[in-house]
Amino acid sequence: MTPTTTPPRIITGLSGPPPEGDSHQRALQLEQQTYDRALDCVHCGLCLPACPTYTENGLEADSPRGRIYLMKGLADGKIQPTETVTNHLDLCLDCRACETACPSGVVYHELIEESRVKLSTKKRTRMMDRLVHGVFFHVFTKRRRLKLLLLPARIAQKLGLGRIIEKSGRLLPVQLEKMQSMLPPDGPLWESNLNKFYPATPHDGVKRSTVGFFAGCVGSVLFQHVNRQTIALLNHAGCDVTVAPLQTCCGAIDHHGGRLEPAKCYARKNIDAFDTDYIVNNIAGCGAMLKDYAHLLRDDPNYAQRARDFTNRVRDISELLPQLEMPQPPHPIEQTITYHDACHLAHAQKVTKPPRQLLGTIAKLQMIDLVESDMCCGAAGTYNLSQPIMARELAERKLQHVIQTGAKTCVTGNVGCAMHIQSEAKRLGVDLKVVHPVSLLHEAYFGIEE
Amino acid sequence: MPEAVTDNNVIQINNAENPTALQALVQRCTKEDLPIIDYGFAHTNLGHPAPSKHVKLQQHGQVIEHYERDLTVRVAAGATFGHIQAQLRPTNQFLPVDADADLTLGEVINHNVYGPLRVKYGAARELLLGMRCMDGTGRDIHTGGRTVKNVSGYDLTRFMVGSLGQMGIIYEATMRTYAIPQHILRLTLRIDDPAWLDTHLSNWLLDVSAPSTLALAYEEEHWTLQIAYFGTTTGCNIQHRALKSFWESSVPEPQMVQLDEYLDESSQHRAWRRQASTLVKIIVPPATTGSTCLDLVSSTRINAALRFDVLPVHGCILVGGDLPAAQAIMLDKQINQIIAQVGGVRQWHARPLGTNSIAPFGPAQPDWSILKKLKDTMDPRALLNRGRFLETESSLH
Amino acid sequence: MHPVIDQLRAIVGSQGILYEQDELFVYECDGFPIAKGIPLAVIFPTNTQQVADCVKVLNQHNLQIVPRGSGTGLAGGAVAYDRGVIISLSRMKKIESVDLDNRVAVVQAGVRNLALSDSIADTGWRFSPDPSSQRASSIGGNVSTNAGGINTLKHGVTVCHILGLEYVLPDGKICTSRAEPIYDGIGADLTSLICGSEGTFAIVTRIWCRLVVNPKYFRTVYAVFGSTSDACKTVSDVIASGIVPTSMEMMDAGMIQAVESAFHFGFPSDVAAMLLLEVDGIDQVLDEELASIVQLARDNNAGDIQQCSDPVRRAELWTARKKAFGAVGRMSHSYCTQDACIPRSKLPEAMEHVAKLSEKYDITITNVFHAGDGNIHPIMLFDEDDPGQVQQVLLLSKELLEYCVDIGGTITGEHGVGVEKLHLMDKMFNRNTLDLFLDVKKTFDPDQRINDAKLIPSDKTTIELLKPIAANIPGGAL
Repeated sequence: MTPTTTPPRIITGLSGPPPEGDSHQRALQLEQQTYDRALDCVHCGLCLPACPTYTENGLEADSPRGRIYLMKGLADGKIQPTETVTNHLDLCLDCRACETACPSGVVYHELIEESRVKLSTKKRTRMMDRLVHGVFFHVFTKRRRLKLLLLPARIAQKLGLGRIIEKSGRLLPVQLEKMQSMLPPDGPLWESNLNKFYPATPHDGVKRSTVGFFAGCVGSVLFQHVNRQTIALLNHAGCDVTVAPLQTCCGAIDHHGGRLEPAKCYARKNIDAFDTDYIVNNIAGCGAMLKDYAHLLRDDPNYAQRARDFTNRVRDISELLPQLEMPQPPHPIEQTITYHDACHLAHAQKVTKPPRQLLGTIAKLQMIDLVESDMCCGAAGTYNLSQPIMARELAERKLQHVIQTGAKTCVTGNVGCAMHIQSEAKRLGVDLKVVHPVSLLHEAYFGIEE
Repeated sequence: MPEAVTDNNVIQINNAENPTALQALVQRCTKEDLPIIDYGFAHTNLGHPAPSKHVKLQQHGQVIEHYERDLTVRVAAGATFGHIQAQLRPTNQFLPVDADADLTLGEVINHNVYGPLRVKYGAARELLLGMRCMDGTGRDIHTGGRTVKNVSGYDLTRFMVGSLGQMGIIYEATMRTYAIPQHILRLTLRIDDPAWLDTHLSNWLLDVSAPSTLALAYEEEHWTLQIAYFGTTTGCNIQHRALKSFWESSVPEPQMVQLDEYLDESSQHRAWRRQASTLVKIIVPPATTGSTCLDLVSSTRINAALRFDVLPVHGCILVGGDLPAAQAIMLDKQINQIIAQVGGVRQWHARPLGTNSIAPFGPAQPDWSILKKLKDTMDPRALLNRGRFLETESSLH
Repeated sequence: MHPVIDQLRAIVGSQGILYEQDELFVYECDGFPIAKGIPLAVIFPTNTQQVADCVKVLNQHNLQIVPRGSGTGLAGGAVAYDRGVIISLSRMKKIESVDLDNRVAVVQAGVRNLALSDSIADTGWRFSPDPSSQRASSIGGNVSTNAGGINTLKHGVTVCHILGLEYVLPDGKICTSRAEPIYDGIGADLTSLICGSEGTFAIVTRIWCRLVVNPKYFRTVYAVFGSTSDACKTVSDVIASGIVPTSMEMMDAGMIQAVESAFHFGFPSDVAAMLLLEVDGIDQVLDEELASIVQLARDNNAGDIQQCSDPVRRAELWTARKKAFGAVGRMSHSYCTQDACIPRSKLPEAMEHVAKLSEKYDITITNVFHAGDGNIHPIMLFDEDDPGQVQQVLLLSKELLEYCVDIGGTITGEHGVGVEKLHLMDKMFNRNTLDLFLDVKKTFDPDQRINDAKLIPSDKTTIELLKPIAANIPGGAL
């Protein structure tokens, strides 16, 4: 028997001691709809393994559930936006893998994006962060400025100075060093623009569609060859392709950075610019943004309907091609490859099967499944510049899985992923080529380009 | 009303539904510091002998309630398997444990008795749902229940499996039952090299031909494999056919001859027929079962006297036979050497006369000190099966 | 700063400890967000020795220790009270070895349930326990709560799949039970006792997991019914017939509509109940087996019975089932899930009783549960801002669970007691048994410092949990 001399001490199981500091000040005022959506989270934790940052460091505050708890805590005035708290929110990749995992249908990206906007105005910003942000918002989104900025880097690269920069280690701030290292090695000094119109050259003489091609900012400067290949494939499939001259940045960089007004402005311009059956792009990040216009402009009386109509016509290149009755590609490619799902294709656009189907049509191409293929590689738009350490850890994780497959080629449908994985592979001395699925398809249809 | 009958120092307790008599017994024995011994029918010689002064407990009982539509049954621990199976049979159900008809349910739980049926149905851990027992201080303990899932409270129910009657006197248990299979196809095959199983059993379990029950036996210098398929006639035949192609595709193909094929049309469960009563039970990693058997046969040079009943899926080897003391000591040495190499444990069920130098249980396990403490908690005066296992063994550790 | 911080940091490194107030905030609750308590610190050891060293340091300071896996538990078992220190096993996630010949995998406690099965997906083997949280929950957590799931009907709960354990005792000693690829041992089954002990005996650090054959062939059907009691009778008849399906799950009308609006699976909208059912085994025999189940369903007035033979469709069906909970979140912000288990033959009357209670207390109840196991999960929908309703929900829960005990059931089938159901333990167990539970607890933990006052009532502390006042009730994993 257990003799009880003193009765048990009673403690309340409901909540801990009140938080320190001024708990009455609500540091975050969320829109009612967004706050209600935070309440949809039932704290079940099914999002944990989907989250790259949690997988990396195992910290609850770096999981979607934890971040929602933090945002709700801020909104309820239970905690204050200390540097610790905002760091956890900033470490989020916004890859939206948690949305795929969430049973309650929490629309996480709206919550984190709105919170970041509202917290960023209060946050002190360091000089270097400001510089980097400036580059993001004012250069990356403007093709001509981007080309100008890249010119010295390209020249340095041509002259072999890149290696000196690499060796100089800490001379450059880590973010700028990262930017430099991501530059694809074989680009021209000054990328030429695309034509305004490419007529269909159908393989079977049947004209099928008119397509507006969305070229992207970074894409059209650094990956213009992929754009040309995309257009060639579309022409071959029987599509007239127009490259709408008035098109502009998709707005994703501003949107993720919490700058809604510029993002909406870009969206309206793009909606005005395209009048084709389809709007095709080959960059997952841009595609996800284009498909989000309906939500972005839902309260705009002049554009809400047009935005919905626009969104319905947006396709990733890998979504459209399988519908166009393409013949079997004639050129076999004897290679072992693996496929990495870009977050903004897999989680934001839910496109996972079509690219694999397309690659499956190429004779002799062996595709090995990649473990955790839909986990973020750390690129996440501009994340690899703002959170270089986590970005590196995630890239190393990704590369380990890629190495396991034995493939020397990693295929992915997003320029951000491609540049990030490629540069990290180079840094670690991994023999790997990262290519866009379009490039392989192009080779399979037209042979090796000179 | 329960009755307690004293016959010399044997106490027989009937009707476990009312534990009063058992409680009174424990309280009386506590007062008189008289150990209560129930070493079981088939395990009388297992472990250290009981102190000379003790009362011997024999429980009797029967099925208390058969929840026929739930496939569960509440049974007094003193009920024998013969009785239980006979009670269940009219409902086309059975308790899937390979226990001889004269074993009681209490003994089966206390010693975790299992046989080839464990492959398909699991052992006591999987089948036991609830338990009532009297601890060594006379407290009436009820744990678990009659539902198939239950996580309320500590799982003292399953804890008692294999406890050698040292933690409490189980007087009632609730078990899962199963429907008797429609058909049972039994095959007996001679196998030349039992070590073939070590490398191929896992693949076999993945195949359509995976057996519902499997045992390996050794007698008179021959190894035989006893396979059974449970299910419909169609299913049994498909599995039987698949078995042949599985063997033919195995590299190396095992050398086997089918001796016997038998379709159990009676749809009744046939208890496992063993070669001999057990001398020593050895547990090794399953993938070393075959080679361990071969080692024991070849190096002890006493193979003619040995009988083996082996459960390859669970790495359980029951060795029987008539062994003189010197050979038993040699066998024990050999077993200990093998266990030192591959891992595992062994316990002597019956040590031949003159082999007291053999430790009945071994090798010493790291958690015995915790078991000892739990024994002190549940039976502070060491009334229950005093001397048999923990008090003696954990001091060695 | 508490002096223990520096000592702990010396063991786990500065990256392995959190102690600032705003870092601890997210650790105030687990998958049962009613129960809340802020820990003094959270530590992240990466190996068993670090766990042991930390436990010793915590002993010197007489601090409470709370082990935590992925924090998906539904009974508040991983909440630290009394400024206890949480030992998080989320960084102990190494699959140390997989031995297919012996059918055993050795994993660190923080390995996720599904991570193990995924890592051996191409071998034909798997780790069988499948709680709906299996993608997130750790195997250590599954062991601690003896987790259930959907296929347990045929394949058994967690304890049936655990061979051995390594654990750190409250005095910091490392001990093992049956820590070898062997399937039996000597003496009482300590492994079973530690399974389901909700981290109140020791901190489980390494697990020897039994691997079983991953079934290759299935038949999956869903059958709809005009009344819940017909569906329940079917379940009861299937069990009584001796057939053991892999899983047999039930949803009622409210749940079907919620799942349909969330996942657009194509379920009919005008039915009272639906059974989801699966059998596995030998391909050629499954149709026969399924036919007898279908017949039983027809005998009980089943309407449409759809077979789901396409593997993609099948996967979608089970995903819809496993995520069914979230769909409830779309119906009502506040809901409270109960977890009880009853004898399967009592299902029809129990569900009628649930409906009566719903009427009596004027609380909407919807159901999705493991019918084949008799493991019911009535989900009560309410408005958390209405104190009257909150009160009704509390009273309803209590009356329901007491009813379940009275008809031969138990207060929790798979979620555990934690702090949530402490107040019902004396309904479930007699005084002697509760006393022995506490004695056993003290045998492992004489100073009552590991997760004290959880799972069984303690004589030292009582954690009083007034049920939902203003919060969302959990959660994710039924």
